[in-house]
Amino acid sequence: MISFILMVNKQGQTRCSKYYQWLPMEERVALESEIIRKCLSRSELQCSFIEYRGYKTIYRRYASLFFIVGTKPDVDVTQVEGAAAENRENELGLLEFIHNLVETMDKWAGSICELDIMYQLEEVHFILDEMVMNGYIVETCKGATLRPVDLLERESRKGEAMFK
Amino acid sequence: MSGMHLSKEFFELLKAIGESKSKQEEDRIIQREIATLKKKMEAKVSKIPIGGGAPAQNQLNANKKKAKEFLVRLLYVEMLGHDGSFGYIKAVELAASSSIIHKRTGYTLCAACLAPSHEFRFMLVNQMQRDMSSSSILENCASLIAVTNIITSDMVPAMQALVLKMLDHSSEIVRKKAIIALHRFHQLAPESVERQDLVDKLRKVLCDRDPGVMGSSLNVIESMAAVDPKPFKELVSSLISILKQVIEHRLPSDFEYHRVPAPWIQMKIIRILALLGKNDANASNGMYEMLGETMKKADVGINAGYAVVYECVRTITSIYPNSTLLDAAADAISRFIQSKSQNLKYFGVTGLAAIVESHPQYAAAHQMSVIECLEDPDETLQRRTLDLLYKMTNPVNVQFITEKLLDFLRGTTDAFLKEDLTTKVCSLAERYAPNNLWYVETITELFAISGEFVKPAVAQQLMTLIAEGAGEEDDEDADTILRQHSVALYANLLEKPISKLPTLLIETMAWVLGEYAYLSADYALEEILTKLCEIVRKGKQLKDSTRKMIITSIMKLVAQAGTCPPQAAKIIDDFTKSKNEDMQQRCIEFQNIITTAPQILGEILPVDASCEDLQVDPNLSFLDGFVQQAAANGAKAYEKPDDDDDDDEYSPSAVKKTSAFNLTPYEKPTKPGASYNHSSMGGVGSGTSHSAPGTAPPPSGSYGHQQHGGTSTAAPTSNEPQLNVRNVANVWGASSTSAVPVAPGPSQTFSAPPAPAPAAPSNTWSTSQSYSSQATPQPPPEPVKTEEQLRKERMAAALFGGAAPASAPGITRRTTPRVTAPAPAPPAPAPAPVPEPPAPAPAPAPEIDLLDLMGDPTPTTSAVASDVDILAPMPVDTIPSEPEPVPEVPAAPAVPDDPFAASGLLDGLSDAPLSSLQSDSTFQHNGSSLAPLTITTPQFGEKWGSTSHTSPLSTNSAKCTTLDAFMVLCKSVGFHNIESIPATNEGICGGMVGGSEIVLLHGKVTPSGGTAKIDVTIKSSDANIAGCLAITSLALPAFDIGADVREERGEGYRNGVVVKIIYEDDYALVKFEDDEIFYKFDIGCVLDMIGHYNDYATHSNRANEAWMELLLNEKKAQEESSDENIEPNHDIEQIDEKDPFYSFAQPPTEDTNGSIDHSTSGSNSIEEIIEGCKKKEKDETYEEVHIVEGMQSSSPKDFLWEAALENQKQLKENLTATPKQMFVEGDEDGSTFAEEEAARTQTEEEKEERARLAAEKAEWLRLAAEEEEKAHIAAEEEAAGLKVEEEERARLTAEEEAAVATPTLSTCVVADNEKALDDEENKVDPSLIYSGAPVSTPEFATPVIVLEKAFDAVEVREASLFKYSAAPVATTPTVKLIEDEEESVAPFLIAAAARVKAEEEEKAQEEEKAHIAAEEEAARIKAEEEEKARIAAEEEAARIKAEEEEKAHIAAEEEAARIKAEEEEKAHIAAEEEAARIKAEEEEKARIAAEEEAARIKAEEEEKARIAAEEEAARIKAEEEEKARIAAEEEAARIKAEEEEKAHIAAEEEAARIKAEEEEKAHIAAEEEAARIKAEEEEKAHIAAEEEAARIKAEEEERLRLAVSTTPQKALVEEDEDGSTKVRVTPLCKLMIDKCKIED
Repeated sequence: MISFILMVNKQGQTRCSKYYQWLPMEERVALESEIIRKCLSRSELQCSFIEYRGYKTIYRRYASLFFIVGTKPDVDVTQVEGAAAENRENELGLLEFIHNLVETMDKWAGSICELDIMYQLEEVHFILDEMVMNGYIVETCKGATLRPVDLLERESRKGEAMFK
Repeated sequence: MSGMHLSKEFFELLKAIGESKSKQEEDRIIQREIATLKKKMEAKVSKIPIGGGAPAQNQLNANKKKAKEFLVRLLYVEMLGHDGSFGYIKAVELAASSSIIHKRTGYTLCAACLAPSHEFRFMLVNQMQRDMSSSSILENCASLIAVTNIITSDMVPAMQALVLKMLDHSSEIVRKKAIIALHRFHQLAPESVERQDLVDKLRKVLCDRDPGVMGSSLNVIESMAAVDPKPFKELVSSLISILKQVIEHRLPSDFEYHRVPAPWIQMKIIRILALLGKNDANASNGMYEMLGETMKKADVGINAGYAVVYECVRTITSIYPNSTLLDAAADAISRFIQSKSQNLKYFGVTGLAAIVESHPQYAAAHQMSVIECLEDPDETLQRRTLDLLYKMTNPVNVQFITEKLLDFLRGTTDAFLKEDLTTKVCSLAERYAPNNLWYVETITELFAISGEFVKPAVAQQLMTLIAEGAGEEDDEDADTILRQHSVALYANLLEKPISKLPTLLIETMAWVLGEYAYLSADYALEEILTKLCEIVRKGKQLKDSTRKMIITSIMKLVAQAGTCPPQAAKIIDDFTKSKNEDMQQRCIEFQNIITTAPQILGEILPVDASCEDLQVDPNLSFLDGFVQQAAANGAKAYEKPDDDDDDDEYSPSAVKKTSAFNLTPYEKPTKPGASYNHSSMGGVGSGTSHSAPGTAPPPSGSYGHQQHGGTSTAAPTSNEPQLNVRNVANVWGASSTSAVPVAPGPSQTFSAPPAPAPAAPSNTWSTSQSYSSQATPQPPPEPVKTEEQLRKERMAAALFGGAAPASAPGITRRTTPRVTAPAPAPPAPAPAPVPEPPAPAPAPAPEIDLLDLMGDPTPTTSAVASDVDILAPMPVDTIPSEPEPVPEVPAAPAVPDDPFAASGLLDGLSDAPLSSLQSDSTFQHNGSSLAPLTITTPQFGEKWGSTSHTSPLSTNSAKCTTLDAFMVLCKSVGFHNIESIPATNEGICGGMVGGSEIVLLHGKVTPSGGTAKIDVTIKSSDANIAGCLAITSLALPAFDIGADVREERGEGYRNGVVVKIIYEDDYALVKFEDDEIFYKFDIGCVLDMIGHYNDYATHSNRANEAWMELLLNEKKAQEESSDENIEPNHDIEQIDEKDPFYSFAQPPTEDTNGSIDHSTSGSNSIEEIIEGCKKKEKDETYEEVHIVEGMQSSSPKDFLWEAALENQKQLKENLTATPKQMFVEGDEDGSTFAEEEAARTQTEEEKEERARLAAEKAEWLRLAAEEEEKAHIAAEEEAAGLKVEEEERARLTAEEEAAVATPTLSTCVVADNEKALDDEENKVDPSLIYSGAPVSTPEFATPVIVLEKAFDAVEVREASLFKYSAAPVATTPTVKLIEDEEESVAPFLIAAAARVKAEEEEKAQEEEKAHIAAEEEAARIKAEEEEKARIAAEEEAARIKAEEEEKAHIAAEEEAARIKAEEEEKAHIAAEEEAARIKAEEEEKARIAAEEEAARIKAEEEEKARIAAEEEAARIKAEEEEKARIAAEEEAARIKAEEEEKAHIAAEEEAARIKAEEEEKAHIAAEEEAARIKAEEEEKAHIAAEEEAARIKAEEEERLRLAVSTTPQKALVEEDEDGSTKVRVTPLCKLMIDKCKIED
C-alpha cells in the first residue's frame, strides 16, 4: 500500500506531503530530505525506483518538481504471522499513477505548476483524497476524481457570492 | 484558477518560502509565520462567534475565510517540519463549520497533524457522525475521508453502523469511499468488523453498477485475500468476467489511460487472481485463458501496458503452473531484461526472480544480462539482482553469490538492507556451504562486516562446528585442519584494533583461541596469551560478557601453557575485584587453584574437551570414601532436614558430610574420579554459560576418543553413562554408545595429512581436497578486469553452473554445519575431475546424512571398525529392489583392508557402469535420482490431492525418534523438506524423479519412550516410485536396525545367542551365533520383523522373546527344509574357496549392522506359518497393503506372511518398472519351489550352467511347469483385463514385453489368488521338493553368500514366502543386470536356469498368447475409453458452443443497442460534447444551438407529439401558476430566496445555466433538486412557454441519448443467486432500443 505521497522540488522543499501511515513530524522531515537527496543523485538513465528504509519508493520528475510515492507491504499482509511481508506493489503501475495524478491536476488547473500546488495546497489534498484512500488507489478516472472537487469549489463559491 | 482567494499575507508567505535559498532561511520565515499566526489566531478565536446570528453573517463569513486560510498556513508550517500544535484546536473547530470547504480543510489538517494518540481525534467523532448522517453527499464524503484518516480502534464502534449504511448510498462517490472506510475499521478493530461480514459486503460492492466503486472494492479484496484467500475463491469467475469486460473496452472511455482500459483495475484483478490461484489448480485453470489474453492485449508498448504485463507475469509464476503461460511470461521477461529502459530492466530482474524461484530453468537464458545488471551503476538494480541471485543459489554457485552479497554488504550503510543481506548470507552459508572451512571463513567475514546484525545463534553454531568438526569419527584430521585454519583466521584478528571489531566476532575469536590456540602455526601460545591480555586491558568499552569470554580463554591458555605469565596473573588479579560476581568468582577460584594446586589445572581446563559431556555424579559417590572415613572417625551421620524437599533423589541413608553442600567450590577430591573432574571443570570452564555458548556442553558423545588427543591428561570418562544433552545432535553424530572409546585416540597427530581416499582422488567433495586448498573446489570469480567480456562470462559460468540442471538447486547439503565434511571412507566415485560437477556435487552430502543417521559404527567387538567404516555405507546403497547396479559401487569402500577389496570384489565391480555420479543415498528409480522439489506448503497440499498413488508405511524406530531426525532422513534420501510442524510432529517433503514424477511425503513421528512410531505416507504420480521409495529409502534407515541390534547386544550375550544381520540388496543374511550359519531372509521380511518387534517391544516386556521367536521360527523352518534337501557334500570349504563373499562371515571384519541376542521361545513350524499365510492372504488386497498396520495385532506367523506379501508387492512394483526381476515360484504347501532371477539368467555361460542344472531337475520341473502354466494362462487373461495400462507400456518395446507382462501375471495371481491357489493345491505334488543346487559353483560368481549347506533350505523357505506371486517368465537378459552381482542370488539362478530350460518353448507360447489376449483386451478397453472420451469431448464442445452462442447473442443485442446509440451519437456529436462539459456557461449557448439543430433534424411527428405533451403540461401548470402568481413575490422571497435572486439577476441564459446545474446535480440530491427544478420550470414556462417547451424537449432527448450512449457500455456484472454472472441490459438501454424502433 502507499505509505506517502510527496511533492518536493529540486531544492528539496516539500510542496505537498500526504501520509497514509502515521509518522511523527521529525521522521517525516528526515525521510523527505533523505529521499529527495537520493532522487536528486540519480540520473535520467537510472530507474525510477529506490529502495529506502524498507520503503519501495517510486519517483517521477516534472520540471523542477519531484512526485514521490512510497510503498510498504500491506497492513493486512504484515498481520499474517510467520509469512514474510512482501511488498506487492507494482512499481511501474505506481509510476503511471503519478502521471495520472499529474494529468488530473493538469485538467484541474489548466497547466499545473509548482505555484498552483503552493497556492491551493488544500485543494491538492482534496484531489489526493479522491484518488487515494487508506493507501489504496480508489479512483483513476479523471472525471470522477474532479467532479467532487468541483462541486466542493462551486459550493464554497456560492457561499461566498451569497454573502458578498 | 490561481491564488486569487489568497490574502496578501499568505501570498507574501508563499513567495518568501518559494524564494528562500536555504533551509535556514525557510526556517526563519516559518518561525516568523508561526508568531504571526499565533497572534492572529488568538485574536480571531475570541472574535469568531460560532454559529452566530444573521446580522453578523458577513463578518462571520470573512472570519471563516480567514480561519481557513490560517489553517492552510498552519499546514505549511507543519509540512515544513515545525510545530503547529497551537492551531490544532482551530482545525477541530473548523471541521464543525457549515461550509463544506472549511470543513474539509479542518479535517485535512487534523488528519495530517494529529498523532493517533492525540486527544483531539476524539473530539472529532461527534462531528464525523453528524456529517455522516447529513443529507449532503459532500459532507458524507468529507466524513468518510476523515474517518479513514483519523479514526482509531476505540472509535470504530461509534462509526461503524453509519458507514455500513453508506454502502447503500445512492451516490457512487460515497459508496466507493464507504467500502474503504469499512476495511479500515477491519484493520483497526477486526473484532468489531467481522471478517465474514466484510467479505459479504465486498461481494456485493464488487458487483456495483459503478466501475469506480467496483475498482475500490478490489483494493480491499486484495488486501484481505492476501491473509486468507479462501472466502474469495468463488469470486474467480466474477473477476475474470470483469477483467474480460475491462480489456474489451466496455468501461466508459473515461477510464482509459493512454488507451489502456483501466490499467489499475486490471492490475488489481490480476493480483487478486494470483492470490486466489496460488496452489489451486482448479481456480488457476479458469484464469489461464484470460491471463494470456490480458497479457497480449496489454502489450501495447507503453508503460501502463507493461505494468499490466508484469503483473500477469507475477501472477503466472505464483498460480498453479501452466507451461504455455510460463513460456509467455519468460518471453516477456526476456524482453524486459534486454530493454534499454532501466525501469523495464528492473522489471526484468524482479520478474526473473519471481520465475526462477519455482522454475530455475528459465534463468540460464539470461546469464549475461544478469551479470550486467549486477554491475549496473544503478544501486536499485543491483539490489534487485542480488535478490535474484539469492533466489537462484545452488550448491555450485553459492561461493560466488555469497561473495557478491558480502561485497554489497560492505558497501552499504542502509540498516534495512544490511540486516536483510546478513540474514541472506547466513541462510545461504547454512544451506549450501561446500565445506566447513568456507563456512567458517564466510561467517567470520560476515561478523566483521555486519556483526551487529548477525544472530548470536550463528556464532554458537560456528563454534560448535569448529569444536565438533564434521561429526565423523574418522575425520579427526580434517577437523584438526579446520581448527588450524580457524585459529589462523582468528589469530590474525589479534593484530587489528579491537575497537573496530563487533562483539560477536571478539567473543568467537576468544573462544576459538582459548580452545585451540595451541594449533596455531604462526603464534606461540604465550604470544596469543599476551595479546588476549592486552585486549582485556585496553578494551574498556567491552561488554562484561565479552570480557568474561576473553578471561575464560586466558585461563584456558594458562592451563595449556602450564605457566601463568605476569600479565595474565595481573589481569586475573584485577578481575577478582570485578563488580560482576560471576567474573569475580571465576577469577578468585582460578587464583586459588593456581596458587594451591596448579597441577590440576589441566584437568579443570582440559584441552579440546568442549565436546565432552559433563559428567555429574548426583550421588557424589566419589566422596564415599571420605565420608566413611569421617564416619569411622566418629562424625555424625547426615540428617536430612524436614523441610528439604529438593533432595529427593538422594536416599536418606546416604551419609554425607554436610559441608559438601556449601556453596564453595568442591575441594580437591580424595580420589580423582573422572566424573568429579569433569563436573568441576564444568564449574569453572563453562561458567560463562549464558554468554559463552561454546563452553556449553556440546552435543554428543561421539568424540569419545578426541579427548585423548593432544596433551590431554583428563581421565577417561567413557565408562560412565554419558549424559546426553542434545537429542537432535545425536542423530547426526554417532550415538552415544558408539562413543565408548575403544579406539585409541592419542595416536593421532594433528599435523598428519588427511588420509586420502584412494578411490576418489578427483572427488572435489572429498575432505582431503576441500581442506587442502580453498581454491580447488571452485574456480573463483576472477577479479582481474583485463577483458571485460571474458570476465563476465566467467562470472556467468560461476553463477549459472548449477542453475542449468533444473533438479540441482534445491538440494540442500546441510542442515547443520557438522554434516558438511564428507567422510573419506565412502568415497563417491567421481571419475572426471570436473571443477564444477553439477550432479555429483550435492551427492555425497546426503549420503553422509543418511550414513550418520544410520549411525551404526561397528559394535565394540570389532576394533578395526572405528577406522574403516565399511559398514556404514552398506544399508545405504544396498537398497532392496533397487534395479540399477549403480548404488553398489560405493558399497565397496576402497580401503585396503576392506574385505570386499581383498576378496577381489572390486575387480568384479570395476567395469560396472559408473553412473553413480548420483548420490547413492538419494533414492533412485530407473536411474533417475530423487531430486528435491521445492514447493511451499500450500502447493504441497494441492499436489497432495492431485497425486494418485499412495504408499503408506508405518514403523517403529529407535533411531528416528524425533521429527528433526526424520526430516533429515528424508532430506538425505533426496527430498526437499517443505515444512515440519513440531507441534504435531509432522513433516512434509517433496521430491521429483526423472523430472516429471512427483513424490510427496508426509510423515508423522510419535515418540514413545526410547522409540518412536513413524507413520509415513508417500504419494507419487507413479505407484512404483512410491512403493519403492517407501521400502528402500525410508523403511530401512527408519527401522534403524543397527541401533536396535546394538541395544540388544548386551543382553544377547548373556543369553548366549547372537544374531548378526547383513543387509544386501533384497535379502538379508542373518547369523545365529550358536551355529555359525548365515540364513538368508528376504529383506522385507527382516525389516518387518524388526518393525514388528519394535512395535511389540513398546507394548510388552517380552520384547526379546518376540524377536527371537520370529527369527528362530524362521530359522527353524529353514533348518527343517534343509534337512530334507541339502546335498550332503556341499560343505562350507567349497564355498570358502569360491565365493569371495565368504569373508562376510568372518567375524572380525564383517560388516554386521549389529548383533542381536534373544532367548528362544516358540516354535512354529513352517507349515503353520504357511497356513497362517494362506489365511492372511485372503484378506489382503494388493492396492492397499499397509506394511505394518495389519501386523500389529497379528501373531508372528501372520506377520511373517505379511512381510512376504509386502515383499511380493515390492517385487511386483519393481517388475512393472524394470524388465529384470526375480520370480519365485512354488506350490502352495511350500514343498516345491523354483525361483527365477529373470534378468540374470540368460547370458551365454550361464545358459550352459543352467542346462546342466536343468537336467538334474527336469523331472520335477516339468511337473511344476504344467501347473504353473495353467495358472499363468488364467492369470494372464485376468491380467490383460486388469492392467491395461501396464500392458500398453509393455507394448512400447518388444523387448520389454515379456518382462512387463509377467508382473501383471504375478499381480493377478495374487489378486485372484483363490483361484490360483485352488489350482495349485489340487495339482502340485507336495513330494516334489526342490533341493537347492550347489550354489557356489565357479560359474556363478555372484555375491550371494552361501556359507552353509543349510542355505538351500533358506532358499526354499524364502521361496515359500513368495509362492503366490509365482509367475515365472523368462525375461530378456541384459548385460547390465548380470553384472549386477550383488543382486543375483545363486539359488535363484539355479532354479531359474532349470525352469527356463524346461519351459522355454511352452512358456514362450503361453506368453505370446497371453500377450495377444492382453493386447486385444487392452485395445478393446482403450477403444471404449476413447469412444467415451470422444463423446464427452463432443458434448463438451457442444456445451461450450452453446454457451458461446448465447454469449454472442447477448453481445449482439448489446451491440445492436450500441450501434443505434452510436448512430444517434453521430447525429449529435456537437451536442454530446456540450453535455460532457456540464458547468461552463458558454457551453450552455452552444448546447442550445446544438439542441435546436437536433430539434430540426429530429422527426417531425416526434416534435408534434412532444409539443402536444408540452402544451398539455403547460395547461396543467397554468392552473397552478395562476395561484402561484397571486403570491409570487412573497413566496419567492420567503421560500426560495436564492433562486429568486438568481433568477431575477440573471437573464434567460442565467436561468438556463442554473437549471442545467441543478439537473446535473439531480441524481446526487434528487429530492431537493426536483423541487427547485420544478419551481424554475414553472417560472420559465410562465416567461417563455414555447421556447421552454422546445428546450426541455431537447434536453430530455439529450439526456436519453446520453444515457443510452453510456449505459450499454456499462454492462455490469450481476451476481445471481447461484453465483453465476451474467450481463444485464439496463432498462435505459431497453428504452432506447424501443425508441429507436419507433423512429424507424
